[in-house]
Amino acid sequence: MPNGKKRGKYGGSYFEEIDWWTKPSNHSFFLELREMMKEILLIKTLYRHNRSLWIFSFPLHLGLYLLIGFGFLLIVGGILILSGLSVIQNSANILSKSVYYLTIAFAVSGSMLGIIGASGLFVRRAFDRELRLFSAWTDYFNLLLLLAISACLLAGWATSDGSLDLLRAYTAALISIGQAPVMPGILQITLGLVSFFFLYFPFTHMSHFIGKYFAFHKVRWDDRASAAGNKIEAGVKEALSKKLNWSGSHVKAGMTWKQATTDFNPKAEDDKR
Amino acid sequence: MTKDKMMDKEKIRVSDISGKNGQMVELDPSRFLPLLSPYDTLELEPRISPLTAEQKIKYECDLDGISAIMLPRPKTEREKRTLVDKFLSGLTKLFDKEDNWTFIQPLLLTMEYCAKCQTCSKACPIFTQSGGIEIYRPTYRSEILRKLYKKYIKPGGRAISRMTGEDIDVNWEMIARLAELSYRCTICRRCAQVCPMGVDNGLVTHELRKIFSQEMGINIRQLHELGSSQQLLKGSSTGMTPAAFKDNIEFMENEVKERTGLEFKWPIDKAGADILLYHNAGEFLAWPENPEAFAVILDAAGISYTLSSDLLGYDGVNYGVWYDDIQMARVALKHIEIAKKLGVKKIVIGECGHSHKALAVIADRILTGDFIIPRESSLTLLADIVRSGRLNLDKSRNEDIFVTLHDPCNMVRLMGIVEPQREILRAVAPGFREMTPHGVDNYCCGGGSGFAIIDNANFPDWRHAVAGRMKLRQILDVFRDVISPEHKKYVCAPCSNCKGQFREMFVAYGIFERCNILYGGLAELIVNAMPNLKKPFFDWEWR
Repeated sequence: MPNGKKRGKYGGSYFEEIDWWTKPSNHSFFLELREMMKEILLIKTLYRHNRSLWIFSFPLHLGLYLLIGFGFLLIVGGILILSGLSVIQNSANILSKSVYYLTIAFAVSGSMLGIIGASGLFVRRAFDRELRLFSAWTDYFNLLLLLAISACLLAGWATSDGSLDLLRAYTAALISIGQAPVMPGILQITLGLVSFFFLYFPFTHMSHFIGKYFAFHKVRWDDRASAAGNKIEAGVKEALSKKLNWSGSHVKAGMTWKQATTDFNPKAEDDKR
Repeated sequence: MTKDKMMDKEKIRVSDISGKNGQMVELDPSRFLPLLSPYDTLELEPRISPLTAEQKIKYECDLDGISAIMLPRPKTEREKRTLVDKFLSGLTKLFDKEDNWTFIQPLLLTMEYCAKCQTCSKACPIFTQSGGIEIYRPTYRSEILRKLYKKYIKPGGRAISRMTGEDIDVNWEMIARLAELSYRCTICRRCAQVCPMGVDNGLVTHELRKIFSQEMGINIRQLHELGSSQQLLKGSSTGMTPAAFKDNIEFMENEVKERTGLEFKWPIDKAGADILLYHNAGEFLAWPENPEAFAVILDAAGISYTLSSDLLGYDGVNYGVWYDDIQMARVALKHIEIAKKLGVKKIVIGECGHSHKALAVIADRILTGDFIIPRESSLTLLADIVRSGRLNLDKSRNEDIFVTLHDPCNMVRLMGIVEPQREILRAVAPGFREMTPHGVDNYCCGGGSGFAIIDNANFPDWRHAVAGRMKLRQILDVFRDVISPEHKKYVCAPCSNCKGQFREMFVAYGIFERCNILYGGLAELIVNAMPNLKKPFFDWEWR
């Protein structure tokens, strides 16, 4: 569990305290959140331990966050349009003006970083023997998909939708289930890729952000001890009532865990052998 | 597989694990990363003995020519098929939340979310020091289990595996190699620490061993029959009975008196004591100076404690933590039962890393009600005693020894016990210097996960030359400027299994003779700094 300034610096835990169970818990939601933010925003562990991969992974992830922000801004812009406001460059409304500029900033920077990150990781995976040996075609495909989305969005912005009005209007139409504007080919491709992405990514490794939360919170950091009456103890009681099903002769299949571990008679087992 | 491929680490793929062409890898020590002076020439390195012709015929060794398990080769195709079926049955149970409630959550996360970035490989001492032998790569082993998981456990697995290029052939050859491969990782979990996803390749090693032991009854004799089973039957994995334990105590009381002039009776089976102290029973037999030192310290500090002469009460080991959840639970519950019977306030675990892991951490998830007795590290207690000033210490008594600290993985990385041992060393050893890296970034001694006590066939040779290589490198590095034998050097290793590994590895390399480096525990250094002792607490001689 991320600890405070003192122990956190070297990775110490409450086990360093004499009679630790009598001391107040060192858990801090703030520290946990801070560490998670460092992981999410800065990919901290990869930076520390694999810098050469981080230089592409970081821009890819930052690009994705910016593109998610871009999507959110499109929704806000769409809502503003549906409310009768114009989201234009010289709008008198501060919110509309901010949304206008931020949408472009997020879209352009996000897609540029996505291109750098995805193409860099693709090249690393394709040409680094260590990575190549363990990569399936799906790993390359996922990176190419992200590269294609970023590149098509950037190309669409540059050639057809410099103010992103078309995409904003499309979003407004989605929200109001209205008539969408006619989109140029490049933006149709972008939208198609994005739609495919949303259907596809839950079944792929790209959904690792969910797993990472649990891997860090429930596995790496969870150092809460069991205590009489707490949830952990209740879970253990239930688990010990499960029946053993393993076939090893020493296991005693058919007994519950509690029976097989506490009623186990090693002498009787030895005599049988 | 051709001989070229066998030699060429570049070309080994995960799918090769299922090959039927004999040995996958031929170990070539000239490809291992070089050690430091005076071991920077291959001539001074111990040989990895090949298996005899008879052993090769009798036992499975087609992974790398090393045999940890001494797994007999099945005689018929029918036998092989039965074993394959058993393995697949065990695989199914491993991923069933009813059968594997103990570790299913981190296992599933590990299976699903590996990014295959190889950050773990860079952190693995066995992989890096071997010169990058593919089969020792953490992800090599995990990827095999992952492919099996995707093919046999996930819905539509067979078809999807073929489509995604993640198929794997399951045959006895693969299973036999995988069994051996599960004993090429010390479960030090450096890989888990550096993983940006939180994936745990060390856990994969542990879970694979469980399939073999819990389902197929395949395990290592020293860990199971002579280890956890013997402990449950006779009281100790050493075979020491309660009567023999009491004899040992009497012997050690006399030894303490002879050495220090201090006369006391070890508290045994003292009901109502504050602390029940668990030593690794190996200490009583191989390194009695360590439990003796504990007795001197605790007596001088006026600590209320007791040992136990009950079956298992004098042996804090729990080998099940490395390979079998059921055996682990049986031993841990016995340990707790003894503490409960004595009515102690807490259990203190002596200088043994895996005992810490088993009793303080893993057992926490099998204890309920009045079995939830607090467990504490002896390092924390000793630091508290030293800090309190209850001991009269003069660190100049250790000034002629250069001391470095070997951090046992289970204490630092698993439990976050980093500073207490350092606080003690700063108080008692003026010549203390740190290895690089150290603390939670430490390297394993090479004896972890039971390796230190596996002495089958040529496995010890592999353990010294490969598993322990990085640690040896660190030791040579930290003492680089004082490496010549006129300087006394001490590797402080507060863990019995680590000491076992150092003992064997130092003999294999002639470390004491050539460099005058000794190993030992932490408690001995504390007692050596007590000025009221007429002579040094331990002799500077090989043990």
